[in-house]
Amino acid sequence: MKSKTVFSEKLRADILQLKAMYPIAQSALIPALHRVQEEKGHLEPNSMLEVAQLLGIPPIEVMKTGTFYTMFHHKPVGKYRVQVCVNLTCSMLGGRHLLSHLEEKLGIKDGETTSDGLFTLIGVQCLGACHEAPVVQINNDYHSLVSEKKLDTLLSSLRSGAKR
Amino acid sequence: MSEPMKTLLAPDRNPSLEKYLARGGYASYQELFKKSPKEVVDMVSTSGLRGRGGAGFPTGRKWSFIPEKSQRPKYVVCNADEGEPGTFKDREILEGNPHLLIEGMVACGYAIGSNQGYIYIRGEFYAGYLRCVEAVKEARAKGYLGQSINGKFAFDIIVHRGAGAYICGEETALLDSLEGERGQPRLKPPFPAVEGLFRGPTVVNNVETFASVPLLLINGLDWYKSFGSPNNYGPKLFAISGNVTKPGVYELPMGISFKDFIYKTAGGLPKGRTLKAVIPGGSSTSLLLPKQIDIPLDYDSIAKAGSSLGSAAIIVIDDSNCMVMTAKILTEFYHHESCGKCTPCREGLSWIEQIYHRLESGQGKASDIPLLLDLCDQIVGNTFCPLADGAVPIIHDTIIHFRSEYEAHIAGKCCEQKH
Ligand SMILES: Cc1cc2nc3c(=O)[nH]c(=O)nc-3n(C[C@H](O)[C@H](O)[C@H](O)COP(=O)(O)O)c2cc1C
Ligand code: SF4
Ligand code: FES
Repeated sequence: MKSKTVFSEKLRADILQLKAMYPIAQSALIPALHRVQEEKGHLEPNSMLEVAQLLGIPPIEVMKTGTFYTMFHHKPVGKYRVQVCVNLTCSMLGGRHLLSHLEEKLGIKDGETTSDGLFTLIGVQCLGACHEAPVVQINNDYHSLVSEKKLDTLLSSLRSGAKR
Repeated sequence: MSEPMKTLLAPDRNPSLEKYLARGGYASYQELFKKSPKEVVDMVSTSGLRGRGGAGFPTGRKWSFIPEKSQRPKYVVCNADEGEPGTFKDREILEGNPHLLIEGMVACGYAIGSNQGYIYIRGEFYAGYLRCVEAVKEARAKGYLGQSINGKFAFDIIVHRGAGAYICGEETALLDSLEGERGQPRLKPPFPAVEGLFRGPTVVNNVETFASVPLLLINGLDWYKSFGSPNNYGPKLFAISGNVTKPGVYELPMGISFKDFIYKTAGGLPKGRTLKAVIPGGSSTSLLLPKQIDIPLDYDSIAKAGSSLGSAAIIVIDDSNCMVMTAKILTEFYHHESCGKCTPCREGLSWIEQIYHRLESGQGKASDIPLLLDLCDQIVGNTFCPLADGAVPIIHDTIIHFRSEYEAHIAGKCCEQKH
């Protein structure tokens, strides 16, 4: 099956550049999928086909790898991915309460996205910052020693478009 | 002595390359290139440096397994997948001190005859990724990496992001992931030293392991061995979290008092609480009870006490915690992270998790306790990689030492603590 191009020139060029960095093309797969997701929000089948073509590897390889890792999304996600650590140290210091607080406040369950497409709530495993527990990662940014109040302020500032 | 140390390894947020150089950064190159590659391997062996990723394998011995001649290129791979619950020391180096890591990887490359390194960094560590990419560029621009380091040696580094999978910290799963595959452990042998990345001989070491090598080169063997005891030398990073007032990453000499570390360096427990148990080396290691922590903090002493220093990630648990819930949370983690390759891990952990959910909701049965122990028994030693073995200690130990809490849950008198 030949897919029609869904990528911009720039995205195609970036993926080819990643491919050139490694002795085997498939090594560029995870970096390429990160790059696609950065631009498109999630990984659609057509996007994965185009990655396969650009890297010159079978589409099944892209599917196999693309579906293994928790950071890759295959359905649309919110503009802000609110990732609450539910592992041990964070739970000891209130992390899971933060998750329930958000479920209630946003009216969604772990894994779901608000209807305005703004927030996706995700309970995640240890983020490697346990001394700052409880920890919440929003998109790429870590927030430490998070309280309900701090979280509420954070979300409303995101909501009002005032980026931190 | 429980005062933190201040070598190049000590956590230091914000060191630009200039500041790093002012602190003596990249000085190890003078010593490194005076020696032959074999002399470097020998020095690392003699130092007794043990891998800081969890298994504590002697680093010099690992390097000595790399064949001198090889048809395929050799590789140096840094394991920066840090994801063992409780562990957050490598992040300090990646975000705060990446040039030290680069310096150590160059030493390894020179010692084993490799010209290419990879830093495999967990996907969530985006800030650390950006900082490492920038540091590699800075190092290239100044000739600390690249075609002609000190006019003697060529070495370059690619920084590679993972995408969320604890199992990729297992070294062979990491190599598969670096080749663009699902991160699932490989059958060993062949070991990575013989056939690793792209089938070439490969050293895989932890971030802190590489970062320890420049200290050794700059300050020499006598200095290095002045910290700790035989088989347990050197300055080392310790991460402490949980119920202590000053959680964090501390650089300390190996062998300080475990008790002092908790009660002095890390500020002790919150007021009015008492110590219930300590996880000494990351979530995969056995619990130590309060009466067991009057020991030196090093590999051998903790092994003697029945646990393991692992990744030197200490989680302090006080009397406000329910041990059944503690075991439940970690079981959920291991089940979530099982790569699915082998049955005892994939199915066994799923079953155990269901039992914990039953206990949590007050539906537990008396037979659940022996059932849990039996399932643990069937998992240990019967899986493809050590992930599932790591899930067992917290289940086993909480049942052995805190059985009454399980019984209370079963009797419907469980703690109020719902997680
Ligand atoms: C499930 C699992 C997860 C692991 N995670 C890590 C990790 O995040 N970082 C690390 O350095 N080693 C980790 N290891 C240990 C590595 O397999 C390997 O022993 C280590 O990277 C070797 O480096 P070292 O000798 O410098 O410690 C893990 C092992 C297992 C079984
Ligand atoms: S023990 Fe678990 S993580 Fe390891 S190979 Fe088996 S299924 Fe995968
Ligand atoms: S337990 Fe939450 S960051 Fe480690």
